[in-house]
This record gives sequence, structure tokens and C-alpha cells, in this order.
Amino acid sequence: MLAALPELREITLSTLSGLQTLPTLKIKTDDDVEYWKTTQSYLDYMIFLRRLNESVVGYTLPWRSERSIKSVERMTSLLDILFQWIEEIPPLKTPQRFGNLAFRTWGQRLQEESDDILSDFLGPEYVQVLPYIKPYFLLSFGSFTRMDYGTGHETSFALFLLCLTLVRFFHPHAEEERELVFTVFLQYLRLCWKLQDTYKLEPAGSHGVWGLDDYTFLPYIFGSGQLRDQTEIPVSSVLHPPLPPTNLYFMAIMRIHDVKIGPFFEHSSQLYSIASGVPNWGKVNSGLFKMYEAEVVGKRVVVQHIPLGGLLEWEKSAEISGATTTVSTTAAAPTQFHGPQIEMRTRNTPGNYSTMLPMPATTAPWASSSIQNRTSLSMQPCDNRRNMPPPPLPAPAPFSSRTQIPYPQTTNRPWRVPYEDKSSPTGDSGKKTT
Amino acid sequence: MSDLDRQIEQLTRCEPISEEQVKRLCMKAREILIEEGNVQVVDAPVTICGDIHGQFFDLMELFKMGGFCPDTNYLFMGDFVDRGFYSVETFLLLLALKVRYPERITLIRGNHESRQITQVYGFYDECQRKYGSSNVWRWCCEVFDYLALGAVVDGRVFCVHGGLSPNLQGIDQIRAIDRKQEVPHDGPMCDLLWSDPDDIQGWGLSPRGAGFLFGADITKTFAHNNAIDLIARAHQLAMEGFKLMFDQTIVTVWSAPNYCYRCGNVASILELDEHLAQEYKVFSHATVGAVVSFNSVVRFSMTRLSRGIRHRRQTPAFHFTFISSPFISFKFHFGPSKFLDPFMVLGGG
Repeated sequence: MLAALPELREITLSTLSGLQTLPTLKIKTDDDVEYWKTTQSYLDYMIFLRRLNESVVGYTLPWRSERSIKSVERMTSLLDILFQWIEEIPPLKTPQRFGNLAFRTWGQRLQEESDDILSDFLGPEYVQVLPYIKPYFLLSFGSFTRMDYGTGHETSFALFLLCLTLVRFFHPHAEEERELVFTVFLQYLRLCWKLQDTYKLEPAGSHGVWGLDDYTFLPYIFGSGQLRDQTEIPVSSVLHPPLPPTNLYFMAIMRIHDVKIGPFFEHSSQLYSIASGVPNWGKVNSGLFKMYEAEVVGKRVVVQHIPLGGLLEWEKSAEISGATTTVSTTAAAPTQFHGPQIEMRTRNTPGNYSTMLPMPATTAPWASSSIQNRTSLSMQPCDNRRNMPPPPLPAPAPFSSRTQIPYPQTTNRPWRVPYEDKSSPTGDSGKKTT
Repeated sequence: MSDLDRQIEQLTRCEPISEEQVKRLCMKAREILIEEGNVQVVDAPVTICGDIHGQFFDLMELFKMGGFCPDTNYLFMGDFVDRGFYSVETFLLLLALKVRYPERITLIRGNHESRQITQVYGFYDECQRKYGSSNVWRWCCEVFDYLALGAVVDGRVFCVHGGLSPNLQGIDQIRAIDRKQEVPHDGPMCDLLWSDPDDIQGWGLSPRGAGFLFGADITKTFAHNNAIDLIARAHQLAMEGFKLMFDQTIVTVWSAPNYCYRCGNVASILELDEHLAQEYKVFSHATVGAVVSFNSVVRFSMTRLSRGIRHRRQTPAFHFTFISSPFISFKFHFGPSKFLDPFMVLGGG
């Protein structure tokens, strides 16, 4: 049995004013990703996920709340508003090559109304938290320029919940954490499914059939957590759909069956491998945690879009590094966060020569979203080539990062068992705290 | 029976060949491809195919409908790999056929035949999973660098994966490119592999972030200046399998049915007879256990039905004696795989 879970630290509202910076983009290189893994925010996030996971072990869906929790109710109301917007912003009838342009309208509304709906959501007591959580909220539902959605956006939503828990808008008690998974996260998942279906969003950075899932990861973690300590339902039961919606793992698998045609072992090779090769849910659960750390939060191409700083400190964690770090408290003015820009691509004519495409065409990994904001070329194509954004050369990220450290092998992360081992530094890129 | 014939037979059963065999095959392929021009000259009759994306069993459907190589001459317009489950088997089979029948099959490069793209869209992962190292991926990428950039059939049909480039007015200019390199992020070589035709005037920036959009005027001017009747290209999903545009001066041929297992599209091949008359044969995706299907043939506006036999898929059990994963033990594996690590730490499977 696991040692007691570490507590999630608290950031009191009174200390908020002492925070020097709002979240900004910090991760630009593979070294930055390695550095992030030594920071307090990364430690907080890992503890938070472990706690959420632990809170649902042995519990099944559908879930009925034991008692009403006001903050959770407010959260569901917030997500209900976003659901409602989908109804109010139907997909455009014109065929589109890249998703449906109505998703940008939805994103524009999110951008414009986020201050209002988040203020209502937080209430007067917590409204001062707004600038710290808004960046994560805006990033939680997909990219409005690329019109895609992936595990990075899902991570952003989880970080949004983490921020709210750090300031104790939500409380890190098992009962409330269970609500976060079964009520809040499930509702978020359904919202994202609806967004994907309605606006035909592309999977962001999908590795074809070799990724765990085109869009999502956390349902597999929480779902395998639910099933962890029982043996009645074997791991291989996943191979025999239809599966009852009793846990998030089954629900995510049934979602795949809804949208894909073909042999499961082909289009979902990882999930098939898990179902046919892993002996128990405990190993599925712990393996998925490691995979999440390596393939999602350990991948620059995924986490480079996530802003850090503010509540999610970009400071080396004393617990991880094993040494007290100098916390930079320079009296710099808080940098203004500019939310994701809603960019509308202007074209001479809509790209209507192709029929409605449910799958967008391949995008260059080095493509910048900014070019989508440009109008078509003038008559000097060669000169206009200079207007193309400079490619971020070289960017062989998936390869290089994978060959470096495929999965963290160190045991000195506090959220790992045994938790008491907090000694030698790990993954220190030699980078100074900022 | 030569080793190569045996390998073709093995690959046709969707069984990967050994790492050593891949290495030799790739070396041999490079020797052949290096002799080819940037724009390969091809004689009609020939069957032109678009994106395959590792959909091996759909490729078998294609061969059943179009005839097997070398009975039928083929020209594949790139994107053999990525996204699908069988990129390794698909590309190696096509490559083995190229080495065995170099005059009967032409392979030109798609934007996915690139180191950078294959690391993001699945082929790299697949090689790692199936061979436990990146060697096969590396050797295949070295072959990619030698693939032709285009082809011309009987001087009148220009074939290219993506489309035109504002830096290229004539086919002869393509011949001047030094193609033996990774696909650049911009410039004429990049554009040939990345551009798309669009309902615009002139040139437009591509939302893909590479290549350009080009309109009917550009297309017709290029065709006129180069005495070309038709530009055949791939690169974009066409729900009906093919899409003629701009008064039939350009066609998109798409050969991956039910793309990514979820698009529900049909696929097609374009048969050019000895007089360059066009016949589009449409087919749908192979399904496990299905025996008979109806496929359609489109000859201009005429449609008739033909009958084809579906290929029966190998049992999944076979594939997973080969393929490792984070959750499966070492025993069937060629070599160490990084995917195994997390579970081995905890005692393995």
C-alpha cells in the first residue's frame, strides 16, 4: 500500500499580492522542459494528479454527490455556459478544410467574456485570483488558430483546477477531489467531445495510431485509478465492447469506438497492448502516470504553449532539488498576460473546392499560426517568401527528446514511492532560477 | 526464388522483414534511385496512386483492383508512411517492388517522406515499436532523400505530390534542384511536396505553414507553358477518391480509404491507358473478415460497377507477437524498446 499522499500546499490569498509575475510562456527548449520538472509547480501538479487519482480508487460512475459543494456547483455552471455557446454558435455550412471556422467564433466569445464569467464563477472573495487562472482557462479548450485539441489543452484545464485548489477555492480533501474528477472533469470531457464533434477539431500533434488517444490522456489515468484495487473486472475486458459507462477508462474507449471504424488493435495499438499485456489495473495506472510524464508533460511540443509563473511557480522546488534555492524576488512589475490571440485567417475565397473534410491536412510542425492571419500573396511570390515566418530550426523534438530520457528513471521525486526519498538533485539543467 | 522475391512474398503477407534485410534493401534502393532524375520519365500505360499512409490492407485492395506489380505499371505519388499502422510493411513492400522491377514502378516523394514529419506523425514510433531501435527509420529516411520529386508520363501528364511552386515556371527547372537532402522548410523542393490548388487567383499562403496555394490561372499557365494536359497530384483527402479542378487541368488522387480510421472516404487510382485516356477506379477500405465488395470505376462521367475480392487481414495475434509496447514483455521483441521501461521498473508484464 502506498504511503500517505503528500499534502498539496496552500497559497493563501493574502500572499497573492506578493506574487511578482503573472503566467507567461517559459518553455522554449528541451532543457526548459527538464528544468520545469524541477520546479515547485511541477511538483504541485504531480501531487495534485496523484491525489485526484487516489480519491476515485474503488468508486464507480455514474456519481451522485454526497453533499453539495458550492465551488463545484459554480464550476458546473461555468462549463454549462460554454456548452450553451456551442448551441448558439452552430458550425458553418460552408465546407472547410481545417476544422470549422465557427470554432474561432466560439473562441472569440470565450476570450471576450472570460473576465465576466470567471468573475461570476470566482465570486468577490476569490476574484483577485482571476489573472492567474485565466491563461489556463483560455487554453483549456483547444487552439483557435490551428483549430485543434490535444493533451496539452487537457493539461491546461487540469492546471486551472490545480491553481484553484492551491488557493483553496477547491479543497484538497478526498471528497472534494472526487467531485473534481467525477463531476468537473467528466463535464469538461463531455464539453470537449462536443467541441471536437461540432467543429471537427484536429487531434493536436497526433502520432497516428501510435499515440494513446488522438485527443486525451487523463480519463485513462483516472479510470484505471477507479479500477485499481479490484480484480473482478480484468484489464482485458476492455477488448469486449460495449463497455458500461462505470469508469472514465471505459468511457474513453467507447468514445473511440464511436468515432473510428476498423480493428481496435490497429487504430488504438497502445490501448490494445495495455489490454492484452498488462496483468492488473495497478500496473496500468502506474504505467500511465509514467507515460503521461514522459509523453505529455515531458514533451516540449506539448507543454511549450503552457504559461508558467504566478501560482504555478517557475522556481526550482526545494523538495526536488534537495537544496534551498534562492527565490528571486526582484520587484519587477507583473508582466501583462495577453491571452491567446484569436486570429482570423483571411483568404480570397473560402477553400471550397474540396468536400467537407473530417480530417484536416497535414500541417508542418514548424508552421507558425501567425501565417494564417495573412492575406494571400501579392504578385511577387519570390519576395513574399520572405514574409513567411522563420522556421524554428532545428526542431527534431520528438526524436531527440525521446532518445535522451524516454521515461524518468529517478526515484527521488517526492510523489513517487517511497516518498521520503527527497535527496539528490535530478534533471537539473544547470539553469538558474528566474 | 531469389531472396528479394521471398521478401516480396513475405511483405505481401504483411510480415516485416528483418532489420538486416531492410538495411540491404535500402542500400540497393538507393543505388537505383540515385540514377533517376528529379522528374522521372514514365511511359503509358501506367496507374497513378495517391497517399497510402501505412494502410497496408487498403494497398492490397488497390493492387487487387489495379492488378499486381509487375503486371501493371505503377506510379505512387508519395506519402507511403505515417498515421496508419503498417507504414513499415507498406513502404518496404513498395521499395522491394521498386528494386525488383525498377522499370515497372515509380515512387516519388511526398511531404511525409521526411525525417521531421515522420517523427511527429507516427512512422518513427512505428519503427521503434516494431524493431526496437531507430535503425530502420534512419535507413528509410536515407532512401527518402533519393526519391524523385515528380514524374512526367509520355511528356503530357505531370505528376507531383503537392503542387506547383512560385519559384518554378518550367519542369526543366525542377531538374536543376539538388534533391538529395531532407525536405527543406521552404523553396521550390518544399513547394512541390507541400502546395495545394485552391479557388484563388494567383498564389496564396498555405495554412499548412509550408508550400503555397495556387489558383486556376497558375495551373493553366504552367500546363500551357510545359505542354502538359494534366497535372496529377495527391496530398489532400478527397472524399470521393479523386477531385478534378480547373477545367480538368489538375486532379487530386487519394488512395487511402477511410483515412485515419474515421474519415469515411473512398479512395481511387487513376489508370492512364496507352493513349493517356483517364479511368478512375474507386475503392473502399478493407475490413476484417469481409469477403466481397463492390468498387466503382469512373471513366469520365460513365460509372460502372466491378467486383473485387477483399483482402483478409492477418489475425491480431500475429502482430502482437512482433510489436512491443509499454505493457508487453520482451520475449517477442527484436531488441530493447524504450516503451518497455516504465513497466519493467515495476517488474514488467
